[in-house]
Amino acid sequence: METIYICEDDPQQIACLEQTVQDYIAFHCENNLPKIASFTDPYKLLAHIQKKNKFSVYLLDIALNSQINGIQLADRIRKLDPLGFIIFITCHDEYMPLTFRHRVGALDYIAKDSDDFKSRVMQALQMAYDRFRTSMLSQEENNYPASFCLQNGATLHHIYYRDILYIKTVKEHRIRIFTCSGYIEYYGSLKDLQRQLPSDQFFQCHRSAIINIYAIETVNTAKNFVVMKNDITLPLSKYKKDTLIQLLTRHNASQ
Amino acid sequence: MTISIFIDACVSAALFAIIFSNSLSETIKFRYQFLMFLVTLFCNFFLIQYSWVGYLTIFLLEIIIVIATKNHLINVLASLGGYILSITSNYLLLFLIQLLLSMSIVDLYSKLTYQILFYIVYLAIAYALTYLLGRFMKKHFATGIDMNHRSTFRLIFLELLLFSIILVFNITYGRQIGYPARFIAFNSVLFFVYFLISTALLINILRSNHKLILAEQKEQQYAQLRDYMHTLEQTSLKLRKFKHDYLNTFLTLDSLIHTNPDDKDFQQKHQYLISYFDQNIKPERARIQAVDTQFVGLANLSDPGLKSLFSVKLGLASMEHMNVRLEIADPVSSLPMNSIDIARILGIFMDNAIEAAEASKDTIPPFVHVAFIQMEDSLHIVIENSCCSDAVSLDKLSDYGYTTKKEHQGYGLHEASRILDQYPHVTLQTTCLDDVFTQTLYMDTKEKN
Repeated sequence: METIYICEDDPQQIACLEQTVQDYIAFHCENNLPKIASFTDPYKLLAHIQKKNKFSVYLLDIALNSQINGIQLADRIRKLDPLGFIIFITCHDEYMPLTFRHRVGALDYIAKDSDDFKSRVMQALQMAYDRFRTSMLSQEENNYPASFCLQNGATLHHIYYRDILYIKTVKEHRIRIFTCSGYIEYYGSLKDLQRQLPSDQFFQCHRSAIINIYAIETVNTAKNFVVMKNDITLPLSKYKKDTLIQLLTRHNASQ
Repeated sequence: MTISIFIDACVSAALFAIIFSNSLSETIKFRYQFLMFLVTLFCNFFLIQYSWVGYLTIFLLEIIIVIATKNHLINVLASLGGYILSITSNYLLLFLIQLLLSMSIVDLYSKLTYQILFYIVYLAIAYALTYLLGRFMKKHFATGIDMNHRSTFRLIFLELLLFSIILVFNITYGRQIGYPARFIAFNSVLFFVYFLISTALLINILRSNHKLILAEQKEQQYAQLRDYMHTLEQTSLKLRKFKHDYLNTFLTLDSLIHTNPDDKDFQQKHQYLISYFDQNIKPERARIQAVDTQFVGLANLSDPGLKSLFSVKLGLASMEHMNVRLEIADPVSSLPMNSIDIARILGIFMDNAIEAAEASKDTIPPFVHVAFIQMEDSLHIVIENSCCSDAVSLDKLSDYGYTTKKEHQGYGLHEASRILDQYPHVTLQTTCLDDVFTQTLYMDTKEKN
């Protein structure tokens, strides 16, 4: 957390925000105190970021009285500082949490007219600070969970291997990747997908399904099916049965 | 003689197994095909002396098809169509042989070589015709029948069934009287003409049905647009009332602020100003928020169908005291899908969202939130609602007939998934986490599908 940026077109409110941020820094930060930089013009803010910033915090208003609005500003900030923390400070009318989260991965969004405005800003800063510290720690250990990128047209989905339970075809060329929280459905082929997945963790148990072997609950070799952790039963091809059992024994041995 | 009957039975068994499985809209397992073969063989060898064997065979084969396939109606239809097609071509072939080679069916069956040759030619023709029919079915009906066409297809089913019964009756009767030449000539012409006429009729019916549906959709869109206008008018009325009150408040404030400090009653007026602010202006904040600016985002949506869809559905949801929000930050100009298709999918998602939120409102505060998010080269549509996580099985969600609602049939998401099949560049993400159910559509805007 090098710098805490504020972008807001009303000088009165900048002063108010700066005061809140200073209060926060005074009470919560020990060393490496972050700087505060306030702007009324979003382009000046962008120009300022060019100088190699990482993990900065951005408090942005939506209506900026400029050619670009706060969301578009956040889009551009994301390109310069992909890991920064964006917090939107908005009026009731511009309150768009789904958009903030989806489009720029905003950390938080606070309505200007909420009664506990100051404490909400403090909370958001605390959240950013906590995340900053945990990501610094994990960066030191260089311990990023393995994942892959699913691309369908212009859409990219980032999926961690450990989140995948199983993958199955629902119709010809219609693939569904099931995770703990839901599924992604897209047009593709199981074969292409399997090539992207590590073969020691993902196993094609049937012509219509690939399973994450860590997500298996039980394997029934008599009736040829596997039960996954979410209680879903998948068919097991009798020709693949032996390979699966070998794979599982090898895993147990290595653990 | 028995051998000849056996060969005959074998050939018709093979023929039936081929034509019935060939013309289907989905591929069935080999064991079912073999079962068809055995059933037909049994009927035609052991029961051949009975006149009702033809009906029995078809009945049994249709039962096998119902067991072996997912979309029953369309596959029963397809197999009957395949049967009619084959029998009609059989009569035509016999008629042609009669005309060109002047051989009657008795001549044909008198020599084994002729008989075998005839069977081979006929099998090839039947195979080719039903293969074409099957390809047609797979192309157009692979995912079942469009909901709107169901009643029409039931009628078509009846028509084909009747035709098949007439054919079976005809064949049985023909066999009894030994297929005289005139009988075959008459039949082939009759069936051929009947076949052509019913095909033409079918195509016409489907076309006009399609037009009717389009007209209905237009009508619906118009009605929705009217509702949308109504909501807009209501909002603008509220705004006008608010403006009026606002001006009055300003006048009062003006007079209170511009008082001379030297006046005797300055202190009193100052007190009054403070209490006026606290009583009359502070509460206004709630009113400002209450004025419906929710749907202002709709101005960013150029498609009239979607405009009205969301104004109506979200209006309904807020009447049910749900927390409703629509986020459209940027103008959404070009939709990468056909506007009727997208309206249908989103309509299904919205209905489900509202119903799920309604169903779980006793335990979870109900909400429905929608966002159109325009990215650089893609458009994301998010529909989020409160739901009871335990009530949903994500694995079965878009299966035909799966439902969590009591008096519903569960066709909605199946239909949505059927439409999405036509758009390979659309990704659908469905999640259900912490009592929040989310459907997200990711669509490319660069390439037009």
